[in-house]
Amino acid sequence: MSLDRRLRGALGRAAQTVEPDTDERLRIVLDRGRARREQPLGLALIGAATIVVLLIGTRYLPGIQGPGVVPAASPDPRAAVAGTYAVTLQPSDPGVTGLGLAGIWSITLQPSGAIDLEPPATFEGSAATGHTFAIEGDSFRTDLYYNDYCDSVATYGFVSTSSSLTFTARGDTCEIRLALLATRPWVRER
Amino acid sequence: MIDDRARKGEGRSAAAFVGAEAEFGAFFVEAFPRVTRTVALMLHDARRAEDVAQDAFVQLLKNWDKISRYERPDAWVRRVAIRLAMRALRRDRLWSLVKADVRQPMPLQPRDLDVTDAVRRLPGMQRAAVVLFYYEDLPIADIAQALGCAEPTARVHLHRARRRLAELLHEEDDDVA
Repeated sequence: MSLDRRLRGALGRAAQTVEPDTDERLRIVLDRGRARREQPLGLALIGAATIVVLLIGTRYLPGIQGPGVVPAASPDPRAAVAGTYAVTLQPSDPGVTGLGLAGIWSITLQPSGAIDLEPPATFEGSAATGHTFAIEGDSFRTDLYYNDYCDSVATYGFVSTSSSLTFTARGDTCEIRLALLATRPWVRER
Repeated sequence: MIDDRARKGEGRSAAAFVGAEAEFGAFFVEAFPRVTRTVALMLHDARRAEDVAQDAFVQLLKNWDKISRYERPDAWVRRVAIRLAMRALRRDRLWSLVKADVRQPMPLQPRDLDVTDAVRRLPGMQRAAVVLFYYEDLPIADIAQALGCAEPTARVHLHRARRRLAELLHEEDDDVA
């Protein structure tokens, strides 16, 4: 049996085992729709005011508390590598041409753990969005391109200097992430 | 159909809302099971799929005056449901990253996998592309629209998914996409 027929058949059969409670779900959806319509404007204003107060409080409260009230901030290891880096992957680099990765890549590691990855214009795949990293000792752990091209998160060794960030592979099986991160050192731009 | 006042959002009467709800209800009964099944194939969790589909239909109801005039309101709600499902998958992924001590599941041997297990092992975008192509029978253009990406990107997701599935299932990849 061909892969196509096998996939169509199996997914069709699997789907038929899903029997949602349509009547109950419709009731819930309509209730939620009615509740939204009937919500008085006053409640919405109170909610908005509460959010504003909370935001202002979060922003300024630590500054007006006395010494000793604010817990001591522990250094976040992500801040040590935070910055914007660039790498130029050459067509002659192993695996780069086959994966369409050649060109200048820019990566920004935010102190919050978010990753912004900017591919070269010639890259035809998806831009990586919503991905993160974490630092655990000498390990750089990331879900970069997970759910796009990779089916796992990965751990890399790393060396960070004032001018570069170098990753070393630690068993990442995702070829696109591996080629991207570990082929060459990333040069710090800011 | 929704009466004109309701459609224009002017001078809505209780009767207009009742009429709109009736029309929405008829659409819901028709479309909800299929959207839920699509999401269930992505999430591998029927109950959670119902919750995700339900949230998508709440958004649909909120915009029903406008969306009901679209040629394919079902495509709109499916796209929202897929986006919510992808967000759920991403939350799972972030949670697994935060819980660094959680081990990756032991890799299964290909002979242990059936098709749905194999699909479950695909990254989210590839999984969605496979479900939309093989279950929903959508053309690449519609898959790209549902996934919010360009057609070549959707084609790459589907191609990579097929290649991986062929490996996992010990099948030949006779790519037709």
